[in-house]
Amino acid sequence: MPFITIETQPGETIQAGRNKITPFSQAIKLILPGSRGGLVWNRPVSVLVQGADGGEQVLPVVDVTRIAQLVLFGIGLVGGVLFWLVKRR
Amino acid sequence: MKAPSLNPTDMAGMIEKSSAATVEPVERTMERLLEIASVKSVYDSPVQHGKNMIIPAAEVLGALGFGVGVGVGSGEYPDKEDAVEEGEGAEDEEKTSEPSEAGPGKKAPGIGGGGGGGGGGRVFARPVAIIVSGPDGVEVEPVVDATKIALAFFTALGFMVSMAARMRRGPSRQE
Repeated sequence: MPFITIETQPGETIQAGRNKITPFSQAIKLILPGSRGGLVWNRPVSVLVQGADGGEQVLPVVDVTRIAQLVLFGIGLVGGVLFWLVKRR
Repeated sequence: MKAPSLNPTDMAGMIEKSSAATVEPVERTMERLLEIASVKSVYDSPVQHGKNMIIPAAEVLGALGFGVGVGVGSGEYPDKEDAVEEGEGAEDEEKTSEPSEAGPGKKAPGIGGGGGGGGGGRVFARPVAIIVSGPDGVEVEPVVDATKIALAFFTALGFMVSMAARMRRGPSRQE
């Protein structure tokens, strides 16, 4: 088994009224050698919507909380570095 | 006295038996960890709410770690006769009164082995979005965790304030 695998897989198609919804998830598997443990991170990525007229639409699943967290941590880091640079001058 | 000998076939059998006993639960738990990677663990069953159908979506993170060890060895141990002499009691004395093959005060060869293991793990799940399918079409509504965002905000603020404070008093300490 490989050390790290990233795979996007579709789920079962759900009939919702006139639309058909197929959810997709992305799993990142990290397996330690010798099957001594591992880490699995599975998250939703998108949904495929098929309308009655045959039109298809892909709607991304956006993790707003994660984006906000990353932006705030980035601001904190950049702010800290800026303080350091200003003080150095 | 005959030197303790360990038959390689016996040893392999013992190791195999001990390994199987300890590794089997580990493999079973690993299989359950890998089940997290399926789509079903991310998207729950659809829920009908009025004219809308709601599909909850969550992020799942699972981590596990194990360690197992098996050991087999051979050696000498004090004969039963010696154990009685060291004070095991009168009742035992009757049982062990017959001289053993090794003889009194001698040591007998023996084989022993064992195995053990330990591990730990945790699974986290967090709602990310809900997929709403209604008469107007399908929409993906994000689930905003205000607590996590507030914590991230205060962490970033705390880092910047502490950095600024350290920069301000840094030169005075150096002087």
